[in-house]
Amino acid sequence: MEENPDLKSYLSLGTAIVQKQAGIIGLDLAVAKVRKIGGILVDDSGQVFQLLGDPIELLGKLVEEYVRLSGEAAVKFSTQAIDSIVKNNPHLKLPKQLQKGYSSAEEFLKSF
Amino acid sequence: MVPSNLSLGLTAIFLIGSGIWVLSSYFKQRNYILGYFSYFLLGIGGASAIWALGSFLVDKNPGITALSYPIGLLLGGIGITYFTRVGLNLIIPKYEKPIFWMFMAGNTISTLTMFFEVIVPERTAEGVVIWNISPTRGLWIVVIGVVITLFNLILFSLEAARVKNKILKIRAILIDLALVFYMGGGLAHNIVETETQTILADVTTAFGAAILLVAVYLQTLSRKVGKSKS
Repeated sequence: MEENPDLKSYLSLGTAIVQKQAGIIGLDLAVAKVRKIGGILVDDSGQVFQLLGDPIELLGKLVEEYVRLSGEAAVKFSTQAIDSIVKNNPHLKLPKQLQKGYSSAEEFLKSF
Repeated sequence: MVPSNLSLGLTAIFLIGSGIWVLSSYFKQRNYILGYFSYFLLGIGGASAIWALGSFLVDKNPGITALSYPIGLLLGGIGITYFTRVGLNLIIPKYEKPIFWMFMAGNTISTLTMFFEVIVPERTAEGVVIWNISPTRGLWIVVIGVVITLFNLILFSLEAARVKNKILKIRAILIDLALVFYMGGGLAHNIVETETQTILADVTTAFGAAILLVAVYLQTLSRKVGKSKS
């Protein structure tokens, strides 16, 4: 199977999210939650080293898993965690959970 | 060019032009709400383009014209549902997904039934295309369309009312107005019976699309005017 050219970046995104969550809910729980999702391989330090399947879908599931545990704040923390990686790779497609929305009509109306 | 072809063609050009502009902003910003807004514009623009094509072919192939009616309705319905999604995301993002899919399913199912109803569109001597939708069906579409439009207007206006910036406020009002005219004119096509009524519906729809075009380009226009003044 052809390897996704952005796989490395997606692995970094996954690691950033897991490690950010580890700082909040603890490493063991953060890693355990990842392992509940099939397809994301993570070591004990929270380093994501393989994504078996569509990286966008898997990262979406990862965020959902943390949302189930700690609510919508998990989205905010995940977005913060990946901010610098996304800025350096603006072409990366992200799961909807990690995309930016608008907090007001003013912000939306200003955007086009 | 005959009246119906002209008005439907202009409506499609205005909307697709606006849609492409917003879509290009979406590609730069990758903000999914902006993406939904562009799908709305391209959806209703695509619907208008299909109706324009159908209207153009009415003399040569009325069967295709008849088929263009439900296809356009389906595409336009999908477009409007994406506008609902914009409002839902701004007001109640938590519930946007189920409500959006409920609307999408409702629209798709009700439009698909249209494919089973044969309509016989015709062009009058003055070049106006009358779609000849059955009164019951036409009324049903109008009722559903009015409910959806009102829902969208309320949803969008609730958030837009909080806008402070003058230009953005005008933009929000123009979008609301455009929706009233475009949907009002568009839905009227389902119940009009005479040539004059059809022309009025055509013009109202095209006017709505023109307002939407102004709303989309307003910020760029105001920047250009500002620069030329300074």
